[in-house]
Amino acid sequence: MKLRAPISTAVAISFGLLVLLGIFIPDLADFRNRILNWAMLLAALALLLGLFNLAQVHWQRVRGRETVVYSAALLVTMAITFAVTLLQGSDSANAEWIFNYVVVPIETSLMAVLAISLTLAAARVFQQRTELMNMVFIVTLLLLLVGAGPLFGVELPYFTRVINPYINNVLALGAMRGLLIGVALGTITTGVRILIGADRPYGA
Amino acid sequence: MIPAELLIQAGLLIAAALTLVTLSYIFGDHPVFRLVLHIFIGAAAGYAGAIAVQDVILPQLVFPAIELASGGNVDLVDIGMRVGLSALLLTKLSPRTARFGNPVTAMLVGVGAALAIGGAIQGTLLPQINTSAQIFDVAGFDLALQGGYYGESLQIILQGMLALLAMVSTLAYFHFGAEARGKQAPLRNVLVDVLAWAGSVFIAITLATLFSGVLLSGMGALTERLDFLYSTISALLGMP
Repeated sequence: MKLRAPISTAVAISFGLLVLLGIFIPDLADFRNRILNWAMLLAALALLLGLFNLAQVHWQRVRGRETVVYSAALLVTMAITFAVTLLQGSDSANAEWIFNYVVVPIETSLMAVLAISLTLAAARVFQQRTELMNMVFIVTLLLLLVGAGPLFGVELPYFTRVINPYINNVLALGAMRGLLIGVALGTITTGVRILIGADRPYGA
Repeated sequence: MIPAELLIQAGLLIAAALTLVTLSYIFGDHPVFRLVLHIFIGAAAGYAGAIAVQDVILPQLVFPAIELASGGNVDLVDIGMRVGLSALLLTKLSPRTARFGNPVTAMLVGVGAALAIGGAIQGTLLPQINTSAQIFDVAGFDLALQGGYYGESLQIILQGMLALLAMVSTLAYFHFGAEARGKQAPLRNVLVDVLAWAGSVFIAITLATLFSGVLLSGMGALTERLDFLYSTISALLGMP
């Protein structure tokens, strides 16, 4: 049987094991930190490669006269933000201006749109399907929202002080622990599969 | 040089316009919203890229390389590895040379997997198991019993049992092992089946809790944006 990507597999396993051993063996901590610094540098370079790819894709669209306005807007804002932040520093007045008056308003507004979309989605779930789990979901959600704070200036103490903490601290907390333990076990399994070479998500 | 006051005024106007266009998505998708999304992606990507260059690439690669070139005292192996690994990763820029970058990608994946395992064990699994072992508030139970508050002591036991049931049944929900029965379809253990059903109820409650958290944060953001729009428009119209 021919082994696929033997060099890459050997590199992934050896560097992964060195970092893993460095977490549990203090004598290897210096070496682990050195590898982590290299990995951090590579991750930053990979981010730049991603940006380059994004720019390339949109440049092709501008040249091919396909969604010209959108792609040109993306390229121009990317170039201006990159240049201003890099040349003047992220704490310069101009970089902060872009961040505070362009990035933050859109980001916060998208979050606000999400609230409305979620409300509509919850209403649709309630309208379309009346299964037990949907009912449990909707009833819990309504109880939590009613108990989240004063409703039109009126506080409902039984909801805010009894039902809300009981759902959060007893019912949801136990299940959340179960979910977190499950996620951690899944993460460990996936990591171990990479470290033994069973999964190779790094090309042939 | 543009006066600072004018820059702030222009910034407020632009922020208000961007907010209005983004919020208009509530009534449906439209070209101006898409334009704003592209502006957002461009600005966020440019900002992230500049921070990566400023905080990582310059101090960890470029400055040490310049120091080495000017005859400074630097660790040759370390800087050699940094330059070599970076050069190999940059081969990914062209499809023809991309395969030379695979070992570096593999290194990133291996290191990421090791960090994920370490993080999952030290940051999630051990602390969660530790807190789960203390699910029954023994000290509170003792205190309630000594004080003669039998109702409270019973409540502590019941709450602990319920939290334990929630945790175990949630884990049981994700157990898909089944017993082989010859030619018949494999069947899950009855106890696991019942626990899994209870687990699905607890998961629905937990998802509702998470949903309400996101919804309330979104409502907070909506209130903040509407307040911003109101104050900006009031200021523009000269209203008190």
